[in-house]
Amino acid sequence: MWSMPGKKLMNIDTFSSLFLVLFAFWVCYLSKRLLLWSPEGPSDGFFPFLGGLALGFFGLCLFFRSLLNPGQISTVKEATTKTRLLIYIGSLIAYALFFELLGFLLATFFFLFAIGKGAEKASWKKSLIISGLSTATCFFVFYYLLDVPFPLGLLKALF
Amino acid sequence: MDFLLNFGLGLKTAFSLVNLFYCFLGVFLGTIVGVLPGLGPAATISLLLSITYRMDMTGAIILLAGVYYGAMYGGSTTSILLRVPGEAASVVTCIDGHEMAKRGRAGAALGISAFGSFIAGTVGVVGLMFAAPTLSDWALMIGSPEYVMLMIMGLTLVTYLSGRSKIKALMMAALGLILGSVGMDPLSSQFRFTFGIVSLSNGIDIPILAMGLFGIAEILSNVGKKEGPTELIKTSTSLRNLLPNLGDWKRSIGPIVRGTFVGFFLGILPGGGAVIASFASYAIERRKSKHPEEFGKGAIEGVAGPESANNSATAGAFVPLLTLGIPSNAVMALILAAFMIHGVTPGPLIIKNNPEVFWGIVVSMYIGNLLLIILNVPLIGLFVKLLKVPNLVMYPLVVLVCFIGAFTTGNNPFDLLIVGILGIIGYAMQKLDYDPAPLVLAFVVGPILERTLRQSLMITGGDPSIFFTRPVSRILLIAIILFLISPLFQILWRRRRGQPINI
Repeated sequence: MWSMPGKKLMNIDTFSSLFLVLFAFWVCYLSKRLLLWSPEGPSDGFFPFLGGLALGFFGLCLFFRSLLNPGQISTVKEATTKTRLLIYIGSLIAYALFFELLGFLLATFFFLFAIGKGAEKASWKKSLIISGLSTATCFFVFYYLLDVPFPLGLLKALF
Repeated sequence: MDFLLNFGLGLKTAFSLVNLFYCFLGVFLGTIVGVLPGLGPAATISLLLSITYRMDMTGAIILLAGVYYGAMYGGSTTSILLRVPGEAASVVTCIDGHEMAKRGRAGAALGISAFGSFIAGTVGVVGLMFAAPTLSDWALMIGSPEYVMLMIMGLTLVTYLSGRSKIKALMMAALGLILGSVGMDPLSSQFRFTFGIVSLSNGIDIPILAMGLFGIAEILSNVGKKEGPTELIKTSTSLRNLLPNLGDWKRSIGPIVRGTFVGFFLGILPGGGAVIASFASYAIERRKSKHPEEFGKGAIEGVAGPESANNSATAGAFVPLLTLGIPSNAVMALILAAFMIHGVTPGPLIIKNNPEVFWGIVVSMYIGNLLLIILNVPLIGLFVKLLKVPNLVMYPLVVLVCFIGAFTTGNNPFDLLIVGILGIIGYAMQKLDYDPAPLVLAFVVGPILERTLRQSLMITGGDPSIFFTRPVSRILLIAIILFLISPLFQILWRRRRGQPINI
């Protein structure tokens, strides 16, 4: 929590609500650039504008509540394993980014291997076997049986 | 006579080989999902949504419905054996179910849970069968202004009964409405919030949002937790040991009956559903019991009532969805999405225009409940073994299935990035205690709400007084305003009593 000596001023709700209030203002601004109203009635900017107003209003309520009661926060407090989590997050972003370039087979294999070896701390042998088998099984089921057109990437020449 | 004809149509639809297979697959997957902690019916249904593109609509809904009520059966297993709820509606079963297991009565707890779920689920379907056509007839009499108010009321109730911070839930609902407007406006064909990205021109696909916020976020949340030791109580899972004795039945029949009715009616209410039904049933049984001191120490009533309530609530939840097109919780919102994927918006006309869909779903729920009791009692040993599947295999596979599901919605690799980012956002939301359920519900309902709102205002040339002049609409509007301002009264009341304020 953020505080002056002897006094708490803000908490995590303050920042999250402020972020969402700013987002709401941005939505309202973009909605206004669309047409809010036409002779027949509400137009395409009307509904998102209402949504932005509602988000902004409730966000301000939370913001002021967090300032008035900085000791009362509603966050989920529990011990976290940051390294494992970061490996998962990094792996899934990398998978999404390199999926088309590497192709399904290579991207999936490396993704599962990174999780198995890096995050779950399995042995090399176990990680390689599980990654290989899972990738092959998913490829067979989805590519061959269900005709899902996965990109083949660097292995395109083999198929 | 009409009823018999319709029921016959339902039998014909549900007993087709394909739909029987989907029913079996749905309840089987649902049971597995219920058994496995960390993967709930919402996440599973979001994974299956993209697969339903290729399926017939009736089969798709039968499959997804099976996952939903199947999960209620499976959730009690880990609650009783591990004191870890398989899914949210089985939280309260942990209290007395696990205590029974510690005293060597795990078999009786598992058995009464399965039988109670079967009885309640079947009676719940009977309730659905009679309540839905009656409510449909009423719904045909209301117009678009009343629909607007009903949908806003549904969203408001869901946020208020979410159990967490009400302000945060309302914020998430507003955010869901905003996200639902991304893409091309169906009335003016104007692109909104696409920023020139072609992939966003059709908006954010519901399966992608759901897979990110529920599927990947749930896995990240489980990954991020430090795992404490969990002890699986060994129990004999032979059939004889799972059959409750006469004493168990005598103590459980009342809770099962009460839980069935409480669960069904709470399931109908937006924001109600299986979780609240199970807690309400537990509270009722504890109050009614001649030995309330036994609760928390292995009272069988504390298992029978809640497990019955959560199953009948799943049937009740289908009533507003199928008759009014209003989902009462996040899972129903995803099932509504499945209807919309196939170009059908459920509502009062679905029973009239697509009777085979409605009656097929109802009859399949009877079949599903029967399959579940057949599966759960003898195969419980197999389901317990699933708890031993290591996280090394389970977690990455679930994430992989989410990615594959995201890819199959549009064969667009960009969707993988969207689902990954949404997963991270969903995880952050969980850590900051923002409930994703109101967001998903508002996202699904938002486009329908916008269309009916604009239609209502176009009828009057933009005059909003239509919402005040029509009686039903006026009553609903007053109720919504009262709900929205009720926290102010709560604050004033608590301040007066010197109690802490928590909204």
